[in-house]
Amino acid sequence: MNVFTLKMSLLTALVLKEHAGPVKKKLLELGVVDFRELEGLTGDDVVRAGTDETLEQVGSILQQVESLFHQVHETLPLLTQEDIGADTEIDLHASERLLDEIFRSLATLREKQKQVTGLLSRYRELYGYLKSNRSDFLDVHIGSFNEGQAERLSGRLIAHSAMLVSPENSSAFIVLSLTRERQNVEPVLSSFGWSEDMTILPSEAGEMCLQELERRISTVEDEKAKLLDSITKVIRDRMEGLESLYRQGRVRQLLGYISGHFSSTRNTTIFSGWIPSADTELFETALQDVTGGVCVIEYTEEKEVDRSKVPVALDDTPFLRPFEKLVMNYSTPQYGSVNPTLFVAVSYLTMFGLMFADAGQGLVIFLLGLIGSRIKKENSILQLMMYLGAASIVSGVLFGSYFGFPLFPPLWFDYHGAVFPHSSDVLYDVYSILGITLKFGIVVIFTGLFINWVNLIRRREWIHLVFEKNGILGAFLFAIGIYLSFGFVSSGYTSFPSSNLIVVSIALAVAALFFRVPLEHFLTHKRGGFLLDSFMEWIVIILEIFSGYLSNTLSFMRVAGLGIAHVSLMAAFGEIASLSPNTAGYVLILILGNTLVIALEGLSAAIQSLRLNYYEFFTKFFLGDGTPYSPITRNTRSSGRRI
Amino acid sequence: MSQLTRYAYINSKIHARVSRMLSEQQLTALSKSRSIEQLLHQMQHTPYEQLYAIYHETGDIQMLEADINIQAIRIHQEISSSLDPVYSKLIDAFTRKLEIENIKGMIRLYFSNIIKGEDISQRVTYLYRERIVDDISWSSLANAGDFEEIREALEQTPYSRVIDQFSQERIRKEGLFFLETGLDHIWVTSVLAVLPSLAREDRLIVTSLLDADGDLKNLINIFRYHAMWDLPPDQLSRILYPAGHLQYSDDVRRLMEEDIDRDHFREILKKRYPRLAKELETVDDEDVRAQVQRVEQYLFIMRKEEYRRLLRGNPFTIGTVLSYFFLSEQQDSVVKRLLNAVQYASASEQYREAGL
Repeated sequence: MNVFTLKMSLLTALVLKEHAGPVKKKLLELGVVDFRELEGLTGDDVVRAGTDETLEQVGSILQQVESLFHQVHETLPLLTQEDIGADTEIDLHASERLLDEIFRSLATLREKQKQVTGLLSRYRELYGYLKSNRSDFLDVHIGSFNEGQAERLSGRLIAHSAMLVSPENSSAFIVLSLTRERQNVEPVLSSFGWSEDMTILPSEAGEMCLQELERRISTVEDEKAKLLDSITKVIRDRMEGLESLYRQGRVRQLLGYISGHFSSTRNTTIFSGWIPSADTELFETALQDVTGGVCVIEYTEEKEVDRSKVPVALDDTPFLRPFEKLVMNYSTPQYGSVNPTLFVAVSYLTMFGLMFADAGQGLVIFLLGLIGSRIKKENSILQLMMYLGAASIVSGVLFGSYFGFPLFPPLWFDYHGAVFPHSSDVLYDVYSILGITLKFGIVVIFTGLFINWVNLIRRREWIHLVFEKNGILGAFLFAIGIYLSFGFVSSGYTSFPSSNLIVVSIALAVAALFFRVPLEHFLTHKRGGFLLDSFMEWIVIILEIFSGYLSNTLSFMRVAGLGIAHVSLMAAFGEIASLSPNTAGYVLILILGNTLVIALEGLSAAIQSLRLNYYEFFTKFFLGDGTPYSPITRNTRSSGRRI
Repeated sequence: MSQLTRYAYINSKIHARVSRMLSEQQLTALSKSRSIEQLLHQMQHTPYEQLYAIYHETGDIQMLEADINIQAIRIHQEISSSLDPVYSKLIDAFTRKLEIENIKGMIRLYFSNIIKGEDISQRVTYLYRERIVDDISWSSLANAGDFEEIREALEQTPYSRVIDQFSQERIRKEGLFFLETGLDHIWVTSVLAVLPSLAREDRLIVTSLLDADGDLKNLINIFRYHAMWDLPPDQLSRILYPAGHLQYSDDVRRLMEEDIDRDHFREILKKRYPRLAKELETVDDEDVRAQVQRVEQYLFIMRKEEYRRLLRGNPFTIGTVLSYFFLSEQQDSVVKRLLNAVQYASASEQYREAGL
């Protein structure tokens, strides 16, 4: 694994124009070039790639295909090397025709769906009023009408939210309608020769209407479901064509992105971009292969370029991917700086383990992560859950906790016993736990400082290395502070270690901090105003060192806090369970307690660990001003970023 | 209660919502959609993502519009419930604007059904029937067979004082214009009633927004209904928006008493809105409709600028909440127009026409 961000090279390649097509495909296959605009390329015969007008059309086609995949809950296919190598070009007209045909079919079905939804709403409104006895909103007609016209009448009535019911064992009909539609319904009834005839009791008529409505609602719901199936079928029947269209479209789109970075003269094509230095050989071989050796490749070393313009790539170590995501989620590290992923992995897992020390619960988290990642592959959160579970198992074994019970003797010390001592003669108590977490915090902070110094040395920023808050003087003052604090604690909180050397050291370090600004002024030949600047910055840096390090260190007490809370919660659930009169209740309470603790405490510990990494660790060294390395690969999203 | 305590929670929520609003770039991309499916697919991970499921279930874009209205009501209610009683009352007063739109929708149904004898069975399903601000029996309103039933449904609400001035016969004769205008004024008077209990800074913000809005709306009303449609002064005075300084000014008094002519109108504009007067000089003198359109555009831009300024300003004032209401209302309206435009296959064209 690379300790620093990957070394990058800026390549510029010249190929014959006739090779441009295969070269683009090869570049997409390789997926290692983060393209850059060529600077300083002038001349009348140099043509920069213009806007590819068809790209917008391709983009629109792809979006339409994506929307169809979305409707049938299908994931979009990932491109393969074969897709890139294929000779078939996307036929825009044929694609448009295919999509038009699908969307036309869908539009017809949607229109039917709209009508069915409207009908369902009408029936539901009638049903709602009838069920809640809102007779003031309803009219019920019982009677008969001209024979043989039931279907026609029913059709006319439904347009006015009314319903014709034909009860079994009766020659009479029932019409249920809304009062507000009276002036529309009554003329319809008259036109069919309706005559009122109370051969059915109104209460019975209501019940019959209710049953009829239930039947109709169920029928319409079935119809609606069938329409949804038809919509799905329209898309699924053309899935093969759509998938092929998507693949061709994506290849066309990605090649279009690459073309956008090409410039050409009458016979040649030129492009430029960043690649990891380790991939240069692979790139050269591939380019020579595709051009028959007729190409020119030049590299510009990253040292010759402004550091902020060099894209940052981190070594891809599969088992560290979840932690790399945590780092990149914060920001992109500066080019050439220490890659903090491994440090984050160690500190994050240790913090979590200290806060959530239980082998049983850890096993549950581990299994959840394991099963989840089998179902949903390459999911960083699930992978992280496995690691966190493993960390809990290890710490649970160290502290002898298994679902809150001391099933096996601890390898280190009994955490439960430290929180709830059974006698005064214990080696570890709550203060010991606090002490351990503070010491751990100090290690984390010093690791951060050390990484910062390595970065500063690599950047040759000597003044910052010595004089800044996280530089050597700041760390020296922090170290003295730690010495004094531990001395104070070991004296039983009565006195600080007294030594002239300490006083002189602090005074000298604090005084030395004052010289940062004058030194900078001197080295940069800046004139005037340095006295006030020096004084102000001196005051600020002293305040930052004295208050910042103290708060950073004390912040790690939360690790102990959460660990103790975890033990206390488990003890509380144990107590509640012991009050249960039977074994079933006892087990149930314990299962419930463990579930709650895993869900809430687990989440809380994961968030707090992240917070400590971001705010107490990263602030010591992390300059998140890097530009992420974004090569165009076959899995690049429309925005140009990698999936 | 300090302004910080009052707004700390709600403002963070509002800023989170504002950050999720659609950007100009997104709106342009949406306008290029060739189908509703494509449009809704692009609205994933936006405040409108729930529309996709509704369309998939119903195939009805009016259902989508109805849902956008429902979400707006819920956001108002959520904000109201997060504030102390006085401010909750203020937000409720603003929420009345949405309640009034729903009441107007119901009354329009009654008008179509009872007065004009049109079929409303489909339209009735799109209106909201839950509580917004007052306890209104929406079902009674939706099922009103005559105007008396509308009056009964709104009896215990602030809307009754407007409703009581109308009858079925009058509506049959005049239409709904005066009734709707009367209802529109109620949310403004509700806001004005809460003003004295607000903190000074908030009071000034709400007053200045209402006044600026009122003056320009009244200007538009005078221009449109008096100059274009020759509405008599007594009727004109009834439709004037109950906020702003213009309604009490000598200019307006003279307008009511004398016949307005174009020069007179220009004088008022030059005095009060020199920038707008200058813009109007570029519009054809005879094209009154275009002139009204320009005044409306000016009002829209002015309000947008003002609300954006408030959003950037002191976060611990009511300005943040009101800005959010305004911006989300505008955005909802753009999304509704896009839905219709794409449905009728001319998204880009209509989007451009909308001037957005």
